[in-house]
Amino acid sequence: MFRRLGRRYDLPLDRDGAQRLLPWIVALMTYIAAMTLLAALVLGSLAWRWTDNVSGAVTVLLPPSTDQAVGSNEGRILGVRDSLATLPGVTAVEVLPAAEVAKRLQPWLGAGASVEDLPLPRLVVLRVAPDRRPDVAQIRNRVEPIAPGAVVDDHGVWRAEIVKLATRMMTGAGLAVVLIAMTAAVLVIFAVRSGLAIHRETIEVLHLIGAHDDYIARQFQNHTTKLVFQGGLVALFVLGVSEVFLLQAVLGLDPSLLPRFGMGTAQWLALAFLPGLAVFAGMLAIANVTARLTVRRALARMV
Amino acid sequence: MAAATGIAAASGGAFVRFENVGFNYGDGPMVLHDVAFDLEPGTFHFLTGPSGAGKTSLLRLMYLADRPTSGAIRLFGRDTVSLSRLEAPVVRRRIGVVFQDFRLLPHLSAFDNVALPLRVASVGEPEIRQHVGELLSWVGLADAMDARPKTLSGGEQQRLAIARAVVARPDLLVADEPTGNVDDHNAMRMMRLFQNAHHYGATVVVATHNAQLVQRYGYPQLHLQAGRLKVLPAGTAVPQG
Repeated sequence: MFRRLGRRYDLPLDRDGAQRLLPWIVALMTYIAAMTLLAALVLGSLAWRWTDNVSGAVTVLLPPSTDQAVGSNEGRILGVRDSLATLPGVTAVEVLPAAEVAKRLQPWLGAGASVEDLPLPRLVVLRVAPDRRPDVAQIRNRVEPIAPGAVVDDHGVWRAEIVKLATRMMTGAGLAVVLIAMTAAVLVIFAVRSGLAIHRETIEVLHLIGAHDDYIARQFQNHTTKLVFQGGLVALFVLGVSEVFLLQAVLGLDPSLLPRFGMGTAQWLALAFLPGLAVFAGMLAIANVTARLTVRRALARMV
Repeated sequence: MAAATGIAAASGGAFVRFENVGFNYGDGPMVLHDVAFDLEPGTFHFLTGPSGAGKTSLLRLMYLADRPTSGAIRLFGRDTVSLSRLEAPVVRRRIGVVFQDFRLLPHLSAFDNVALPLRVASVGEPEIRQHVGELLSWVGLADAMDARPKTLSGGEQQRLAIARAVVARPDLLVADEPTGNVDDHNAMRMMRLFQNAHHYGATVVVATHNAQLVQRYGYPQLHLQAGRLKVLPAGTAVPQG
């Protein structure tokens, strides 16, 4: 393909001032589209991990009680834990230690607060097998007699919001990429039309000595694809440099601030390279097809 | 007379046939009126007439640069009006054209200009190198293969244009005022090239307003006067006015 793209043209397309900026504009568009796609993929992956992490979990919040009729707090907590552990499909029931609850509240209460004296609720986290969905009603039925007023949360509302947000952002990113693709097509149409106008006389000579429309269209097609290829290479290089900078910035952050993706090296590499390569290939295809169709349509109106 | 001049009365299967052809550019006045003639294969004709008589328009119709406004044109037995975009190039490859303004491609070397008709016909590069080399020698430009057209003299450009027109061994060779801007010596040289092509079997039509040239070579004429065509036999002097 590269040899074909580099062949001599009967039309002096290499000397067109009108197309000189095309590679740079394509480079910019490819870069923006690839970055948009990359951001969408990272966000989508993040949202998926978040929702996946909590989709098999249910949190039971047990408010502290002074009512002796329902037993001691610790007794209620253990009663709930044991009862939930016997539910079908449940793989683990974990009681969050009071100290852990206190630690998590520390940022809101301040370092000087004595949280041990506060009537804090206790949390019981229940996990079910990956192939099962938590049965919230059943859990509630088990918990209510032991700990009246307990709150059972399967994170459904939060999860739905995250999924909605992620879906909207990915849709937005997809639309942005489609718009960039359409703009690229329009750009190629204008560049090719200007080339057709500049070389009208030469094209007529080619026609008159027996050139098929396809012969002429192929020259525009190859030339435009070559320019887009050059622009795409520039974009891929800048994209790679940007990713290295981003990675360095991310690695410099406190790991506890970062979400867990749980991806291997191969998946990270795919995430880093695929958006750029996909946009690059898309741009080449758009340039190729658009240039060809534009020239064919214009030539059909000539003698 | 028809047999002697190569101009036949309208009959089936003619090599080049114009049937009551009328032509105008856009909404402009008619430049050709009711033009009708047949050319037999292997003939040589001058196309004569004063400036503005319609010589270039008639040649443009002949090499399929334009379509007639009325009437019909048949080339090599095919109706050109109904040719599809796929068929037209195939017919055009059988026609060699020497344009009035040469229309050489300035960014290409002399070699590549001459090679163009072969390249568009997908001829292999070894064959192209051989044919083009021979052709450039034939027109006396063997030493100018790599030269760009603008570095060549007017006569050399004209010969280059002829080489490009004949490189694909066309069945029909048309030349629009090829001797218009050259001295007598170069005009003779060019006529020899056209005669050579004619001897190889091409049907040749050379447009000229050079009455001396027509007189000297004595080929039959297609004479245009105000867009109307008369066929004049060999040896006829160019009508004045």
